[in-house]
Amino acid sequence: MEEVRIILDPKGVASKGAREYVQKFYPNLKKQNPDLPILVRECSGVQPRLYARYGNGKEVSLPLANKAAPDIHKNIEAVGQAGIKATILPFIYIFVCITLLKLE
Amino acid sequence: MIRAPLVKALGALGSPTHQMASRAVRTSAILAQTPAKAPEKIEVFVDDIPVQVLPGTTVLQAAAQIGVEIPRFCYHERLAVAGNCRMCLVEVEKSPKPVAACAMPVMKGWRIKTNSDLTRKAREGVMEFLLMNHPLDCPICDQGGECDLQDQAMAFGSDRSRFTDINYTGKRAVEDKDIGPLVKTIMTRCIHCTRCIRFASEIAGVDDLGTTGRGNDMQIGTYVEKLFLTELSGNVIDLCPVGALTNKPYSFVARPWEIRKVSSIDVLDAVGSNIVVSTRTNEVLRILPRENEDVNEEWLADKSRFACDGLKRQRLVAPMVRMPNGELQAVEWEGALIAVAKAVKAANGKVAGISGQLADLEAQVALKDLLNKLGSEAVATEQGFVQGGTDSRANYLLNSTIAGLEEADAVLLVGTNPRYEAPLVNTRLRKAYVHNELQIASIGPKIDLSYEHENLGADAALIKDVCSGSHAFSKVLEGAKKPAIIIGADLLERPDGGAIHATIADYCKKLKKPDWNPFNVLQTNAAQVGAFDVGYKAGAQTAVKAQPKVLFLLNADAGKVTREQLPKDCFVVYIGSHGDNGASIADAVLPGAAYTEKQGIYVNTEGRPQQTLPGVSPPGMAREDWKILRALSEVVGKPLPYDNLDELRNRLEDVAPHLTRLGQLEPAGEAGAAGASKSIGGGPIDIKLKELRDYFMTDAISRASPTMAKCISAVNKQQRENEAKQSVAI
Repeated sequence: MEEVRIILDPKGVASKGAREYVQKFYPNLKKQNPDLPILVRECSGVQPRLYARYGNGKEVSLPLANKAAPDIHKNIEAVGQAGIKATILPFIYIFVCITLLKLE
Repeated sequence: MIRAPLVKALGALGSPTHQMASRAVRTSAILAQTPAKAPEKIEVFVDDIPVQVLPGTTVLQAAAQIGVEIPRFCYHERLAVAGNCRMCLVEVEKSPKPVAACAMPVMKGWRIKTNSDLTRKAREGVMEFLLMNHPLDCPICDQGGECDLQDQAMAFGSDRSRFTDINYTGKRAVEDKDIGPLVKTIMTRCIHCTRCIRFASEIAGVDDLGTTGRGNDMQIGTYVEKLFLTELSGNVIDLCPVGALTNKPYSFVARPWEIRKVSSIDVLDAVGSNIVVSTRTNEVLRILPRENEDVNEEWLADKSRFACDGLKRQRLVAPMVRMPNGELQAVEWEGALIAVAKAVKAANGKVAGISGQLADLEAQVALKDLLNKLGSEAVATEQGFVQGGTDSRANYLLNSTIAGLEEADAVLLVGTNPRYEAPLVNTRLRKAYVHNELQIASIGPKIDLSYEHENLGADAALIKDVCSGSHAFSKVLEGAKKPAIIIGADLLERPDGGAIHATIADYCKKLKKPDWNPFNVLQTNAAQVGAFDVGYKAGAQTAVKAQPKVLFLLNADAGKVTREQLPKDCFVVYIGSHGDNGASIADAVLPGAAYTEKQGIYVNTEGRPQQTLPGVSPPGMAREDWKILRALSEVVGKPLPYDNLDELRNRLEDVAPHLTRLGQLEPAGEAGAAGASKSIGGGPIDIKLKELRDYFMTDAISRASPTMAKCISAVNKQQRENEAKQSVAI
């Protein structure tokens, strides 16, 4: 995994979990991965979303709307591992889809 | 007799109540901020229409509230009231004589008549006096067509004059003054409104202009011959209601009615001033400010206004490839793209990109996406920053916002000279200094900021002292209602920049107030914030460290990368508009568009995305930068997933949604990086732009501008003369 982007609304209800995640889990995550850019981009009125970019510009994204912070943490760990295990795009998609299904 | 209201107005200026009066004059913006405390409104009648206004409102403002515009020359809403042109005289019922609307506060129940016989007669009289001593040179006057005197003479003047000039003795004539290479003076046209004087002393903070003589002999000038040299001098051209002060480089160039006007954004500093680009026959003729209360009010810094002639010089007009003999040779686009694509394919992922200070967001995203697709992560900005400090937007933004700094009451400047790095941020600080009793201190070399401030010293260790609370200025910051610490972007390039950043960010958490973020980074490059927003890494060395086989320079002209630092076989591709540092080391030059030639987003230092619009088309074979990258991606065989600007903007929205909310400010979270070291090394703090002469040339466009070169030589000449005078005095 080369880059993580967390897009969230600084005030919206749907982004509550995402905001909590950034507050609670971000410092540790950053300590463990000092070279991984974890970009937090606020914008009012947006639905929170997680983007993960792997090598060669492959990107996956999943919505974080109304999710609690620990769930988001699991999601991020999942996409992180997906990057290690699967080097080709279809694999990543399948993995993320499965995690999504599990969570829902 | 007629001067009575003027005496009152002047009396108010000198008295301690002046601040209150001038605050009332500064209209709605200020009034709107304190609605709760607003005192009871009083009712007046303007042309029999009732208006509810706050006490202290002037007649002119009360009339403006219902859309009645009273003619004026000397009154300007951002300057102190002078009341000396008399053009705004209006009749007030039961008042024995007409009152000067700009200076007279309304009283309860006043019936103001803006169109009565008496009012009209007063206006015609004033106009007649003004025109008596004003030359009839409108056909050769540069103000013609946008002249307040012309317009108001037509609208409010008499249709005949009692002035007979048969002996050629009647008209006053005044010698022209040389006040520098930017402002041309034709002093005979001056109507003594004193707007320029008030601007210079109130806004620019340079008390160079003043009046000498009285009555018919009154003159505006510098008294002893001297250049009017400030970074804001161009604004007196806009303020001058007649053609006495005009734009020197633009003199005799065009008439306002033959010009096409395009609303755009300035990119020569990180303020993102709103501008109007005037063009004709595919040429940028001049640049004027456009009003935006949140950014530049209605001012514009001199570099932004006058460097536009640099858009015609040193331009890259055709793609070029370096031949085996070492010379760059113009080729067709096809050849150039194929040459670059060959090198990129051979590099096998060992590619890197550096984005410079004038790159637009679209090109930056296209370059980053392309390089990421090629398997490279070495995509960085030319100017450095704290490594890994771009995760949170608050880390690199001016979080107090430009307009917000006006309300600050304690400011610490760390390694920055806002006067020359962002002149229009400095005017806000000066405004706060004048109206809000702002206390300012600076850490860095001694500089002239145009207002009083305390220099704490240049040692970097002082930052630790202040942030630990042991320094005397810490008490000021901690006791302030709205404190702010402003860090210069150049300072964070230092090896201990991360520590400085972390120390100040931690301290700012303590100073934080609800709805007020005291942590500020003053960026100097228009492209910097946008680049960080989309995930660029900081510092050209990030790209150099990757030891790339192909290096893309996107408008990177600061000369931070040299050939020696790169591997011998590195193929350097320059994409940009001007033949400057970047193009000189390149193996392939792909000519891009300058900011007046493309639709591109730039994010200013407070994080406000704004877009430029094309006024002219790029010269020769030059193309919009992102289109070049899109075409290249096709040749390389990794096509980018967008074919037009809309699709590219959609991609921008995926990367960071706030970037497409043009003109809006999305507040950022909290500054501070996790796990950063906090040991600030010793060594003095330095600033690049210390004096006015350093200000004029800071980027590829201003370096190519002959006007900017003239400014530097004028400053040098003035200094030589001053030194000569001093040695004579000794």
